[in-house]
Formats: sequence, C-alpha cells, structure tokens
Amino acid sequence: MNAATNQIEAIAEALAEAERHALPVPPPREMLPGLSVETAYQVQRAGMARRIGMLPHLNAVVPTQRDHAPTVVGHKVGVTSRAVQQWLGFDQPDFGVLLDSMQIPLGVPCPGSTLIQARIEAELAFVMRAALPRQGCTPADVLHATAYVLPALEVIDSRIADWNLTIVDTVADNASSAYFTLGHVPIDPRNLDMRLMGMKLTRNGEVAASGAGAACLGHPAKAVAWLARTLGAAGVEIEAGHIVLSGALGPVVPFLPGDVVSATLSGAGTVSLTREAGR
Amino acid sequence: MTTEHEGWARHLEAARRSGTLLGADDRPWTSLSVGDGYAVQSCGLAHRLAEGERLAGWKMGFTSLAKMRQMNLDAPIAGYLLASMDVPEGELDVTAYQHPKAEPEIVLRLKHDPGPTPDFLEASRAIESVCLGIEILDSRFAGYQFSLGEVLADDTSAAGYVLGSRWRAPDALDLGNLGILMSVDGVLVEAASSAAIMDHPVRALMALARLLDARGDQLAAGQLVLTGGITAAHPLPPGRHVVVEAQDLGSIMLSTRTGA
Repeated sequence: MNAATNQIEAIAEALAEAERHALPVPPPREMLPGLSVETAYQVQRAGMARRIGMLPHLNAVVPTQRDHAPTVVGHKVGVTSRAVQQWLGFDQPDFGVLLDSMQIPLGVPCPGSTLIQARIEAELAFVMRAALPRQGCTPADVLHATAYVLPALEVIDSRIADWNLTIVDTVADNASSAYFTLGHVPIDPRNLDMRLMGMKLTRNGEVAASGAGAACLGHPAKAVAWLARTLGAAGVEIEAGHIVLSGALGPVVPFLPGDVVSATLSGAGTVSLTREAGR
Repeated sequence: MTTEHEGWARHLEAARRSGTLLGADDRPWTSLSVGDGYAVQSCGLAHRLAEGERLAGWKMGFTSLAKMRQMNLDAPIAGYLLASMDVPEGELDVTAYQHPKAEPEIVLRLKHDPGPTPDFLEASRAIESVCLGIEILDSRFAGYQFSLGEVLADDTSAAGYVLGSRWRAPDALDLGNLGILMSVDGVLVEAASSAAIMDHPVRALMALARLLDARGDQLAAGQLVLTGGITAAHPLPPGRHVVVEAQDLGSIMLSTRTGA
C-alpha cells in the first residue's frame, strides 16, 4: 500500500512525542492498518529527519548541553538472534540510525528522563576505516574496512506500550534504539575470533546474560555485511568513521534506574554503563 | 545408607542393564528426598566399583542460576563418572542408549584434591588442565520425568562423555567467559559462554568439593570434573551430526548411527 505522507509524518510525530514525554503510544500497525515494512522504514526516515533538523533546545533526547543538532554517526543492526526473530515472526534483521546524541561518553551515566521501558544488551561495535561496498558486501569486506572493534552496550527502548511489537512497529521506532556506549580500548579485528568469543553481562554484580559472538547471525561481521548491502540497495553507504552496532550477543536484560551493567567480550575487553537513579 | 537404598539402587541398575525406562508405576519408592537420592547414588557407585568399574571423576548439574531458581535449589547437584562411560569422538552407536541427549561441557582435570571447602584460589590451583567435552545424558526414567531425588538416585542421568583432544592449562584460557557453540546437522543451535556455569567453572568445582564432603567423598588427583550444562541438551537420534566448539579449546564432532 502507499501511505500518504501525512500519515507517515503523523506516526513519526506520535513516536517523537512518546519519547519526549516518556509516555508510550499504541503500535504503529494500529495507527495505520496494513503498515508494510517498507512504509515503516519511511516512518523511521521521517523521524530521523525531524531529529536531525531539530533545534537543540527542542530535542529532549540530548543528554547534555549541546550546540548543534544531532548528526548521524552510524547505524545499528537489530533482530539478529533466532530468539528475537521468532518473537517478531520475521526471519531477517532490521536496522536503525545512530545519532551522536544517543552516544553516552565513557564514565557518564545514562539519562533516564526519556526512557520508558529500557533494556540493555551487549554487542560488538565496528568502527569503519573505509566505506563499505554498497553492493555484494561480504564479511571479509567488512573485516578489511574495519579500523577497530569495541565492546558496546546498547540501551534499547520502545516507544510502543508494553513492547507489543511486530517487525513494522520496531522498524518505525528506529529499531527500538535509545542510547549506546562503547569500550575504550580499540581491538584489531584481525586478532579477534569474534565468532567464538564469549560474552558475559553482569547487572548489579550478578551475571544476568551470557552468550557468544555467533549469536549475532552466526558472526557479527555477517550482520554488518548484511547492513551494507541492505542500506546500499536504498542508496545509503556505511562511511569511513561510522560506528556500526552489529546486534545482540545474548539475551537482553532490564535496565532500571540506578542499574550498573558491565559487558565483557572475551578478547575484546569490557564496557560499563550506569543508569541515573532518578527519572 | 539403608537396605532400602540398596534395593532401590539395584532396581535402577536392573533398568539400566535391561534398557528399560521406568514409568510412573515402576517406582519401588513412594517418594525420594535429596538425601535418599544421594544415598541411592552412592550405593549404585559402590556396586559398580565392586564389579570392577573405575571411578573417572564427577559431573555437576543445574549449575546455571536460572536452572537452580527454576528447581528451587540453592546449590547445584553432583553425580559420578566411570571410566567405562568414556566415548571416543567420531561415530557413536546410539543403540546402547534409550533416549540420549548431548550438551557441551567444560571439563577440568585435577592436579590434586582442592580440599573439602576450597575458596576460589584453592580450587583454581587444583586444576591441572581444561578441555572441551560433550556429555551424553540418558535417563532411566521415561520422558526424563523425575523428581530431584530421583535424578540424583539415577546418577544425574549420566551415560557418557566425550573429551576433546585439546587440553590447555587453565591460566592460558579466559575460563570464566569462553564462547561455546553447538551445531546440529549444520545448523547453529546454541551460542553460549562458560559464564553460564555459576558465573565461572571454578565455582562449580568449589560447589562440588562441598557436596562431596557432605556425603563423605572427596576429589583426587587425575579425576575429571564435568562442570555442568551451559546450554539446553539436544536429542541424539540416529543420523545426527553434532559439532561442539569452544574458544581456544577446539571442537568435537559426533555422528550418531545404529548397529555396527
């Protein structure tokens, strides 16, 4: 179906309002019955265009004082595990955009004022040395174009009440992204078995999740190659300097006010994030 | 141990020898406590050692916190391993089993007894080397339907173990966070970390030493310790190709068949 521009804008506005006030909304599939994955990506793009064009003082996502509108710093791949694909009834990953306003610097707590029902997951982040081919990109191309990898924590959240999602709802909602933070010791991808590396995530001192690199589509670089091909088909390039969050390496866990979470990827180091105690 | 425990151990041994699965009506006991379960297990071990079998080591069960909570336990459970349960890598004739399942394991070989209540450092120092393993489970109870006391009496479903060929010193490994993968017929079915074993496999060894002390046994140099399941156990009907891999510990392949 061809959704009218005003319908797409209306959903994007509803999701943006939900985030601004930390008040969830009904699923986009109910706002626009018959919503296709393609149209959901149009909603995502409309939402990103709003945020990028937004004046800083209007952007409630910005954690600190800012003197510029948010800029694109990379991309995320989602729905990379079999468990999540089964949950959403969708046999492919999805993707979203990463803005600099979503990145939490090392040692800074994650703000809670815009979070609704946040969860957190461990991932491997790729930082690109060179642009990725838009056509036929392979995992080998990804490894070759990667400057370094870092352990990452991604805070995901849904602006849709009770995580009542199908694939189109999360796609419209920028793949349920919220914040991310990166480790600070760059790892040469040539020295890391990113398929077999273990993942251990502790929450408030207890191991809350564990997994391995292969949990992400069999190999994290496969997820990045998929993204380069998929974005490439839409005329978008993963550029030099871009960050790519490649997908969860194990189960996702709740991220509540005051939580302290650390993820260790065997051979790639540790990354930690604390959530502010208040809202 | 009582004559009742002796009799119940004989009942389970007869079931094992004849390849009979025990249903709900085939239990000579009305209920089995955890204490009863361990007592029956100890009788069974004594019988098999008297028959000339050799004790190879021990195995841990319910070592994940989630599993312990699910079973309402505050500690994992333990069983024994016999040298005759050692299965070589490669082809596996599954006619010897009733309803076998496989799961990856981190296996420790002990340099010495860490003592009855070792701390983390004492337990770590007792480990000579580490390898990847596959545990073969085969309950004597139909449909794996058992109470906690019953699974303990049945030696925690122990039936076999396959050892990888790559033994490493523990300090050469990130033992508490080794990635572990399992594929069945070429499809990745599990991607896990050794962190799922009580946060660290050494903690399973610490718990084992305490459990054995409580029942009057102890660990010894050269013994193997299977530190507990990391993933779900997957069925092993004939014609399955199972590959298990672990970070820095290589891989093990198992292909199931029937007959010679």
